[in-house]
Amino acid sequence: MKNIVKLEFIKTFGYPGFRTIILLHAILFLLVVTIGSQIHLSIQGLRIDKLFAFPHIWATFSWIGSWFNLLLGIIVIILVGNEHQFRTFRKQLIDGLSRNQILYSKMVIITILALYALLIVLLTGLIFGIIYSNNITISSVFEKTPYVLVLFVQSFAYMMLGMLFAFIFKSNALSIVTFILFFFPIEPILRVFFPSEIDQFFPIKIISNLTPMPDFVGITTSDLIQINGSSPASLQNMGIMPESLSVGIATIVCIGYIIIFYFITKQIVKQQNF
Amino acid sequence: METILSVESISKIFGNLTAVDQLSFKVQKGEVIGMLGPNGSGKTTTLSIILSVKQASSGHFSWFNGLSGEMANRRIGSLIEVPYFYPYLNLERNLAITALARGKGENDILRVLDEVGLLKRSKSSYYTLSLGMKQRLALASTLIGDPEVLIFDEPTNGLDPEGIAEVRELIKSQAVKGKTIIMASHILDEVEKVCSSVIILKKGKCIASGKVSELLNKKQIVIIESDDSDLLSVLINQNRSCKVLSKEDKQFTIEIETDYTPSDLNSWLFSKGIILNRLEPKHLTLESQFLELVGKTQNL
Repeated sequence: MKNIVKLEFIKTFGYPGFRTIILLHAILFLLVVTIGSQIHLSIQGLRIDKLFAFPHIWATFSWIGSWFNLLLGIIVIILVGNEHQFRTFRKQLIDGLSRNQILYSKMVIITILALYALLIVLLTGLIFGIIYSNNITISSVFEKTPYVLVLFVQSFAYMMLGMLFAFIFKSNALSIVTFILFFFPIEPILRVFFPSEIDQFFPIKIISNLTPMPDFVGITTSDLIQINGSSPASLQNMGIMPESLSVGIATIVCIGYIIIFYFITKQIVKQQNF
Repeated sequence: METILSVESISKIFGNLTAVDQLSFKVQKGEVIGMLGPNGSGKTTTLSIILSVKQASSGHFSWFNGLSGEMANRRIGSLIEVPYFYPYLNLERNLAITALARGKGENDILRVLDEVGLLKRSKSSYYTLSLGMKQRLALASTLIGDPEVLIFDEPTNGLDPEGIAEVRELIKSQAVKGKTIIMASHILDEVEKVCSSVIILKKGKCIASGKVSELLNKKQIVIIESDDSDLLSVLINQNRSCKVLSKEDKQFTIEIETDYTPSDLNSWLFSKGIILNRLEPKHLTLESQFLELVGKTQNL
């Protein structure tokens, strides 16, 4: 296992394309959260900065972080596609790796990238939270941190799906196009033909709903509600955001999909002529 | 003698094409075996199957008395078709990946780079290498960890004459060390100079196999010439150990049986009153044998 991790590190971190995309991912994320935190609306009772304070910041940053998961999926497609293009999977099989080790080596990278996605949100969240929170308590800091763990599961799922496409199609361009089209419009079109009880269990919907859009209205107007004593406003109460599966159930289903993606990929790798 | 590789009735079918057809052979320890055949004869497919890169449609094989897959491949250094490396990595990093895949340490890298004359380029990116250098790097990767068996598929592809001679010497030096070597090539001269045994493939079938010396000694060709060509012609046709292949002026090219030497022929002709002006044994090459074998099996 140590050898697999080491060889995967050499080829992945030595790839300029990988370093560029990761740098782009980090810059874009930091840029979006920095610009977002600088937006000030002068409406009485509306506190945009609460989105960037503990504990809401974890939901906000996990949601923003999820925008860039597609990029992580594309990185994995490129890494697997390159191996097909350079025929280096074939060489490594000849050199003594097993087909399972070929798959595990890529899963090592997927795990590292999911950890990176988690860490970047965790670290920036801590920094921004400290800056934008008035009263910092231990409970307020940790209250919504499970959102960040859910982001880990979500990015893992995106990348596992990307890897599956890359092993099926072998070509970078075809895999990336299919991967993106599967998110939109292929799965949304398929979902039209199913009732909502089934529709909510489709893979892309489940994966995407893991990090739902934060309840901007509820969070930013909470002070106003407390003053007026009215019922709490929320996007769901206002009918803007539909009710969906709870994050807990969605996470369990998503892990189920990750396992399915793994076994399909394993079968493909087992039978593929490299 | 210890059997290193045993292949039994392997076949590989791609759609309507049978690339390898019920192929069986054995490779003994220390043997340098050449796999010959025209393009599309199934050499690379056979090597890909025995290295578990492609799966056989039927039949089976085993290395080292029962191993296959990655456990066997770690004891084999292989170069199949063209070199496959990461273009953006330098030579050392590329070989480090080979070493790690083979479960070996990275301390062998500089030795093998030196052995193929690429030590000075160890920090160069792979994409900056010439075709010949890429081929040398691929050869270096086969030597990582000093494997017991070496497999080369067209090892001199892209090399200049000097490079070809160097690779030939490299392979010979590995053979002297007692390594078992399987080499696929369609350059027959190369196989003849390096290999002790051959398997000749055509359309996925083995059409001949055995020691190179045995294949070449199956028959003898001599060129003879005498002033009395008419009598010479009559006498040769009477001799059951000889067969005329061609005649040009006073010169005859004849095939004689293996138990009948050119000297026996000369003595016999002298006893019949013929004095030969010329008696020249013609050395058979693997190429001529190969072409004859392949020609004979046109209907395959």
